[in-house]
Amino acid sequence: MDLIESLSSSQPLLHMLTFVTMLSPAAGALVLVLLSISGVSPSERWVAVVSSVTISGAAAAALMLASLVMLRPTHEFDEVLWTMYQVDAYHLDVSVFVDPLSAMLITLAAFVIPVLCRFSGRYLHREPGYLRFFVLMGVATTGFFWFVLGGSVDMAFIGWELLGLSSVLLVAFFWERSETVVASGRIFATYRVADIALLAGVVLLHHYAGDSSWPTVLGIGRDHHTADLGEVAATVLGLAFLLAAIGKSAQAPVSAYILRAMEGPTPSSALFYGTLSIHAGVYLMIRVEPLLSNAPIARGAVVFIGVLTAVTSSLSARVRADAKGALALATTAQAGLMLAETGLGFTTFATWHLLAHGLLRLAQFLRAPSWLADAQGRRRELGGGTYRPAFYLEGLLPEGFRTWLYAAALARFGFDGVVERLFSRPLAALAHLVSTPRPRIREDGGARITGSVFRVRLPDETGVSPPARTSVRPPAPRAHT
Amino acid sequence: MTLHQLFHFDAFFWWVFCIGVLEGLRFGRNEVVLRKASLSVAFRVGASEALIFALLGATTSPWVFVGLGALRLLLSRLRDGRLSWRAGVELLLVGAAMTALVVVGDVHTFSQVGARGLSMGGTWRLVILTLVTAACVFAIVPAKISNEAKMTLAAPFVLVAFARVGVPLDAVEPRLAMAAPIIGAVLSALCALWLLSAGMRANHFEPSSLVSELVMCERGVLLSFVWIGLASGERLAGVGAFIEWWAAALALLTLEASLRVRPLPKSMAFFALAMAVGIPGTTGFIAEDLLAHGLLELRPLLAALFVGVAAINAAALYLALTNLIVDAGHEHRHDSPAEGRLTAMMIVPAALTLLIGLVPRPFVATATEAREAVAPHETVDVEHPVGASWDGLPRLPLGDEAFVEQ
Repeated sequence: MDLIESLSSSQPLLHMLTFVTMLSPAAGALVLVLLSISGVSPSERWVAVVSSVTISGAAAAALMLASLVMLRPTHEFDEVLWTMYQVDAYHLDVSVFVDPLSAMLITLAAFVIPVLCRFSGRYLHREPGYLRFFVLMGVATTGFFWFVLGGSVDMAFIGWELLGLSSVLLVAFFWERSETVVASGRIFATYRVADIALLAGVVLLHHYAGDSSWPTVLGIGRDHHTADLGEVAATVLGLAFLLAAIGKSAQAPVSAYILRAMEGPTPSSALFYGTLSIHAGVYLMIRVEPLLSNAPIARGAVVFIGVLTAVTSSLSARVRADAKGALALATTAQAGLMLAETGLGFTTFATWHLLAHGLLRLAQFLRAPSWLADAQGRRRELGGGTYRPAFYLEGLLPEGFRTWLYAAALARFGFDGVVERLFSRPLAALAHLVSTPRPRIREDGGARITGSVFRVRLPDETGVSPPARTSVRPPAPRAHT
Repeated sequence: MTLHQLFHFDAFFWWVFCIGVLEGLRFGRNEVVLRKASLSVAFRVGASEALIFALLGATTSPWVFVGLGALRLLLSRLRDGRLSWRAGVELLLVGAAMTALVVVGDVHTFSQVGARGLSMGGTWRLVILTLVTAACVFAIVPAKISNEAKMTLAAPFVLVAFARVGVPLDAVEPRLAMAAPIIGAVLSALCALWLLSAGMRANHFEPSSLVSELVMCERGVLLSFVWIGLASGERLAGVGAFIEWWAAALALLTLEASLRVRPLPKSMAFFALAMAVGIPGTTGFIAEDLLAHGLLELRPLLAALFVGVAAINAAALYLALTNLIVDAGHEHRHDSPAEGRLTAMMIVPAALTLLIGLVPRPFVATATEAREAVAPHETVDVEHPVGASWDGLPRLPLGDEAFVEQ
């Protein structure tokens, strides 16, 4: 016991574990990038080794950190590690905050990420972007640990951005296919709106509370309580964080982007959209839940969005024809339930829900490519038959309504159209108005082809724009001499 | 005046000098790649560009400033064979502002601008600031996109003029000090929307013209951010503006260098995007963080506009980049490598941005000193307070009154 007590109270040890957790994956990614730039092409084995060692090392350090902190009497570790920069009274500190909530997330990540690394090493064998995948895994791991361990909303924002960028770039992993690249663009735009909402929350928090560290601002600490922020300020902050969570956790009305995210390789889908990134928004709302105690409107909005997503996504998942798409929508439905639980104040329940859900989806996503083979295996075990449940809840509904519900679920309840009409089209129209439309001339042999740019048509769901209207004008007749 | 009195090598000079060196490297590279010039010619072109821009930052005299601007214009005329009317208009506007400063305000060195500005009279202050503001708008708007290779990316001399003249005068002319950041914010929004339009029309363009439009629009957005921070008069935002200036230089160089290479070095292109949108770990992140906090102190609406434009800019840039990648994929030949070769013009700015982004403290301290070098030192007896606090100014209805604690 004395040894455990001395270890858990040893600041140098805790600092070292924190540094290893937050910096080791980034160091591994940097090593791989430097090797690549210098012209050395490391073999797959070396890439996997470097990545596994750094990521697993970070996971082990994180697990040890969480365990030691939980053994402390206060179950907390709150420390400013260094000041990144300072201008007058404003300063950005790199700080760490570990409490039971972050310890649970750390435990989840510590099991999930090394498993995925090992899986990916074999799954992506002989893929051209093998090194790129593991660099982005390193960035994602760094981002996640910064997000969870960061001692302030500023730190969480840094990790949030790194996590988002790496997930987008992994969606675009197979960049020889235009569909994946275009799909990643839509996701990036959604993530960017979420990032900006979180940044707005961070900046407003500094403005109203003077400090954005978790203990100070959210009343977890001793002196400050969230009620001092005032109802309006708390509502604005709550809604800003909710917007960030909607974008990150694929909640209604932007849940459709998660289907596009399935273009990426299966390990990245499992990591981001099954385990880590999809739950980042939920974790954020659990963290800022004390803020909602003085913001009933924001709290109501959290519950509403959560329930709406749970209902619509689960119905849409049931009509999907592809395994990963169904899984993705089912994941967002569960994230919606977690959000609703958080909004209702059941944060501990939401946290356990998150843990269990993350592990389940990891297994399901990794098995998704083998789903058909698994189904055929089950069929053989059933002697050639198939399992069909005797009772469907939808059977209780009138047929007309059931048909409408089916069609609505197939169309994902029209959320895409709403987002398009409310945001994408007005923005596109404004962009078109701003820039001067002018024809583009391309030299093609002797003919001059004029491209028409006077009408902007948005890409369809596949992300491919309709072809330009072109007219071919024959060259002007030469004067005969 | 002696040479020592005409040039002062303060922190602002060193800041501007480093940006000038980057721009000089770019011009030198363009000479070699586009005009197939020899290395000696490229070196001369690049060195002259860097030297003149550095001297613009060092000079204390408005007349010398205008003279150096004219010299720069003349050199570009000799280099390109024709006079850029746009650069000429900028020089005229700045020249008129400097002339008014010297003749009406009896200002012989830039350090006198703040103090002498008061005695100048409100109308003349407004005229001078309007001229310099108009020059900045003219320089930043992404027009004449086809001239991208010949234009300066991150080193327009109007920004130096604004830093030397506009920043001290802003402190004593609060009317324009409030208008200029709003104009800058609107300008940045226009540039971001233009970029979005370019990205959406990508299938209608040949790739090289899309790259030019992309680079020029992104330049417009980033330099607008710099201008907003300089014009705000707020200390945090001012420091953020200086850092954004550096971030813009590094990002634009990397963007231009990587997008012009075929096959496209996609990894570097995406990293250049990360540099431009200010992902954590890059210089842009620090700049945007300071700008957002500083602008919020000034006006919440301005800060909201700033972060909104940043979001549109990021989405638009990514859209344009993805379309370029799709185009590059269609043009890709099976016998050529999948990824383009990385060059020094890509790697060096990328490495710099990472270094500054990860170890920002000395850089931020230097930016603070550079800002101090141009901000007014003396406390001016005006109706409104000078510097970061604007408590004496009337606030817009969307200010902090809605959030007063009960």
